[in-house]
Amino acid sequence: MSGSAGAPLLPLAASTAHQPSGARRALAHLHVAEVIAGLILLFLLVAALAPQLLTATDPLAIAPASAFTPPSPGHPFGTDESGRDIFTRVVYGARSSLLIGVAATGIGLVLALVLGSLAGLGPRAVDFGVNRLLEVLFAFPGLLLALLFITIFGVGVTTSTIAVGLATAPGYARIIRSQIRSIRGSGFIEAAVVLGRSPGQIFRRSILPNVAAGLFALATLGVGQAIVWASALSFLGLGAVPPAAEWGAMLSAGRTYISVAWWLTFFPGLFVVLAAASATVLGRGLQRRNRER
Amino acid sequence: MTSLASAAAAEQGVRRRRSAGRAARWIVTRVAGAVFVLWAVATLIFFGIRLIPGDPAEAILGGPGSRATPEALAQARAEFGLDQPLLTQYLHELGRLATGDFGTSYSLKVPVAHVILDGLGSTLLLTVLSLAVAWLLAIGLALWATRGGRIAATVSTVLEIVAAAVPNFWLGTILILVFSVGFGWLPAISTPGIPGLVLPVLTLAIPLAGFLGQLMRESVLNALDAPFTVSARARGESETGVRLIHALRHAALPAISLSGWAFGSLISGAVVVETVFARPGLGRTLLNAVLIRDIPVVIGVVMVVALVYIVVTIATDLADRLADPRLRAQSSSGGGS
Amino acid sequence: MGEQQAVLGEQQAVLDVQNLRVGFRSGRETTTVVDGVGFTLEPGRCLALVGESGSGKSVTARSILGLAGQNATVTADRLVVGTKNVLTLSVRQLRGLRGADVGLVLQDALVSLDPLRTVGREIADALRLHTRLSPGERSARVQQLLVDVGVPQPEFRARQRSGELSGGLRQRALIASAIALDPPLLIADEPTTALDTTVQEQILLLLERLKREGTAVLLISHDLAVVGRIADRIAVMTDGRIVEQGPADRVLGDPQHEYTKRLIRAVPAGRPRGTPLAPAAAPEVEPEVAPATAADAHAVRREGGAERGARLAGKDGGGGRTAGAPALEAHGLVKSYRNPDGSRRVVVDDVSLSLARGQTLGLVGESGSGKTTTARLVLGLTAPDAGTVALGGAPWSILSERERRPERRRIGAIYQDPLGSFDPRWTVREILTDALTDGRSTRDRGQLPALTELLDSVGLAGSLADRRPLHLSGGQRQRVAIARALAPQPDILVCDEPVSALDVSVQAQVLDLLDELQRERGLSYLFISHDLGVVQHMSDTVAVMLDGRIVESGPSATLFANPADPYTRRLLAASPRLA
Repeated sequence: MSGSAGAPLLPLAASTAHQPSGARRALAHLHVAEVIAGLILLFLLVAALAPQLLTATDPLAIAPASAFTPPSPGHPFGTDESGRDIFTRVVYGARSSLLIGVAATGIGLVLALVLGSLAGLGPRAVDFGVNRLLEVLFAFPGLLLALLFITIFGVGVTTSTIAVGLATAPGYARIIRSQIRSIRGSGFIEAAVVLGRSPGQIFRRSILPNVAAGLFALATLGVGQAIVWASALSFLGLGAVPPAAEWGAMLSAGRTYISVAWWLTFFPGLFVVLAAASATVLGRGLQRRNRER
Repeated sequence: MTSLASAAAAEQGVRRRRSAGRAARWIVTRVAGAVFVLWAVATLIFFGIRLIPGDPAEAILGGPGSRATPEALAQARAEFGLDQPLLTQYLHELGRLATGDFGTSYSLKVPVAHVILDGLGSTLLLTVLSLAVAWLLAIGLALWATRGGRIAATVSTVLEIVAAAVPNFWLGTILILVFSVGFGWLPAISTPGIPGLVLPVLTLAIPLAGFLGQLMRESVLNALDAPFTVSARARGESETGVRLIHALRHAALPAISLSGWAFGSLISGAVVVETVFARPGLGRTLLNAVLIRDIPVVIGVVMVVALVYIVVTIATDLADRLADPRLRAQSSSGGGS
Repeated sequence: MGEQQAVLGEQQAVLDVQNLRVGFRSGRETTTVVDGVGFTLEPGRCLALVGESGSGKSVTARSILGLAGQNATVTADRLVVGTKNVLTLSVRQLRGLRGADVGLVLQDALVSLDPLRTVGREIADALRLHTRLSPGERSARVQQLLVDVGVPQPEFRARQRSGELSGGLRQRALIASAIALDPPLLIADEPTTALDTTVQEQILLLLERLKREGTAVLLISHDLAVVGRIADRIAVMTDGRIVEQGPADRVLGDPQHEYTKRLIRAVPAGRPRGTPLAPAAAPEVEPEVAPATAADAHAVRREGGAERGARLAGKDGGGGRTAGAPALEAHGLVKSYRNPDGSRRVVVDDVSLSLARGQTLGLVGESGSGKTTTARLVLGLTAPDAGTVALGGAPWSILSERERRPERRRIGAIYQDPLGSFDPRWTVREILTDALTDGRSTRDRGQLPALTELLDSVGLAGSLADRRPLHLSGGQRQRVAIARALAPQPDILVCDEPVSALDVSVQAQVLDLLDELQRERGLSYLFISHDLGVVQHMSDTVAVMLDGRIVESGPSATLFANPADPYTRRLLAASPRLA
């Protein structure tokens, strides 16, 4: 093949065209893990929107008499040093964790969408410029960009949310850019040009919907990551501050009593894991479904 | 035959010269790129810092709560060059950074370079060791999980999710709960020496191993499906041979490519892990500096980490090219016929 | 199947297979892939196993090595290599058999040799596994082997990897690795499929030489013409069974089974332009229609088509086009690309073409000859460095893209990979509605009659309209691509290797369809292919490309009867054909 010609000449693998009935296929594709992940997220969503449906206790109510109660029927996750009910606090913590996760991902994706589309759609010079900018941002591994941002704008929930969004943006931008580039170079775009479609039509009808399909999966995965990162910042004392019912902050505060009350650290962390894992499972499922289509 | 032979000899010569030229060009490009990125990082930080609301001189003297006298503020400004024009300050700063002078810590009143040197060794030991352990675990996992069967597939999927969803601070806390509080085998606080390193290294390595292992598992499976492994088996190669000689090498490629990124995630993980295990190091230094806004220390640590990270990235790219001969030839791919 | 090798000759069979069955388990179901296959093979002979994809020929070959796969159940009355019963061998003994008693050559050495290891090490592996030679002795033997298979400069080549070698050299290296221990039986599974015609010829000569030297060769191929070059006997497989087996001349010259006849009829090489290659049954269904009625039906349809074609060819194209001007004319096209080191590589060099209305211009050449770049220039996807393209006498290549866009409906294209040319999110209905409405909509609003007509004209059932192309067969996908190209009612169709990825019988159907559409609609085709046989069958005029230049062009009949250029002659000589 003449390498520079660029026309898609990949030989096809023979595919067996069998198609089970729609309903059966949908069922076969719904994995058990995805159902469980969906249920967990549903629970967390209820906890975030209407925590009083799940627990009647006040998350900040102090009851020194019942401090350090181990998990029991009355307090399924036990109580902390001030006698506050851990289960209630974990339920109330869902709101801030989900909110931070979604907001940070939103910020990251919007920034990434701007940079990624500029690089993916723009002329060579713009692509070059954006790529250099991304390279510079990539020189701050992981949390470092977030830490720098917090240094500048101070500790707090808002700054840590923006910081997480900012820190994740370069990664998304690179993915979006390469997705756009690969769609632009694919055979069906060339076929659309041959059919006489204008650049505007091609962007609206072929590029945008194909990128968007991937974005939704990416966003779902991103929310899981953002929840972990935001809770890490709270754990380090850079985000939500105790006594706020926030999972990372609760875990951090509970570490003082690690040798006497394991439940103080165990349950808040468990919920970070559950939330992030559910988002990951669902995100992977979406990605797989996009691939199979 | 003779003309064919001389043509091949000529091709041999051309190829050798080309590959030497390519390698040289590659190195020059990469080093120039690294210098550019460092300059841009320094610039970004310098102007970013100016966005901080409030008076930096006040920050030097302990923040707004310190009620510093105007004289003290003026003195601090002069001392740290804050009374100069912005451009002068910028050029001055670049010059200092280029010579490795990161200034003086606001809080500790000692040169930042000393503060960094104190922590760098410990953090590098932690991250490099974690990377090595993660690699070993990942290879074992990939080889074990590709022997087929539902259990192996399930375990590796679960590990993948764990890698993505378990935060370092929680994993570290659980390890402490089990091995320090529960069994009392290992110290909860990272003491100097091997025992103190076990839990921090595991905390960093386990999620990374899950990630790399899953990646390798997929590429081992791809390689085991590839025509060249059919050829190898048809030659009489054993299953073990196929795995060790062919599949593992192919499986290592994506993992090597991602090791640079992995190292970066380990560095930011070190911030958390050093806090969880109260282990001295660059991560904790950085965190403390962020909390009390010790700007010179933050800048210094970030610059040094960026430098280390860039060097590691170039090193992994180099390792990539060594492991995959196709990458070396890529830049001159012409029409092949 | 029932036929036994009557004369065993003086020599014992190297391979004896009787009633071989292979099934694959998936979940609770077992699919039978090979169903009672039997044959024998003697030293110095070549048996070809011919069939289309999914016929079970490759699985048969791999079962002989015990490599059918983990989910496979293999049973047989006899499965004997030399004196070893493959079915009763232990895993260790099987490993001893592989490489030493049987060598295997796969398609495409680029991936059949480990791309990360030097070919020298790959070849030496067989020696390492089966002999006690020292590393020095091994490397000497490797170089000897490379010389034997015709690789010059063996010392240098042994240190290269498959990606650094040309297609011919690496296929030779792959063969060297299979014959390293001089196995009495060599299984070659589509050994020349990915190769250019002239290289294919060289590899076939090499296999023929090995056969003469006493190796028994089991050749697996989809290509009857290739097989006819070296096989002594041919076994035709379909659906896991051998439907016909016998001496090569007899099977090719006087086929008995209906399937063999159809397969032979489907080979385009040497079949005059306009003759149908596939039985005129409903396409893609492959029913056993009585041949007489089918031929009649076809004849009727063809007559009607011819009339319409003549009518259409008579009428003028309108627009700014000059009456009598060729449908497409390219003059002095040049295109070059920059190499990474800054030098320029000329891909298309002074190419001139003229495509008469209602006719087919065949463009033939090997990989890297510049065919595809020429197609892109003609389609206005790349601007030429020099030269012009005119459509129906009106300027085309010099237009700006904005000016060209409304005119694009006059020229359509189909590609080798139809799947890649469809938006993965769209169903067939959406693809065709988009094409019919000129991109205004993908939602079917009262377009139904036009859409059904379109599907019907390419022989697709309306029930397929709501599928995505991913769930269609290769032939069906190409039909959808043709339907999409036809929707704006173009004058010209550029066909870039439209059948290269298809099985012979599906290829025959698609070629017949293109032929029929041309007659019905008076279309002009620029038909690009590496396959001389296909081009000969489809074209009125032919242009032969080599290294970006057209070395020879002229009316198809003259050019194939009296090739003037040495390259054309070489290509023609190397191109395998039946009888």
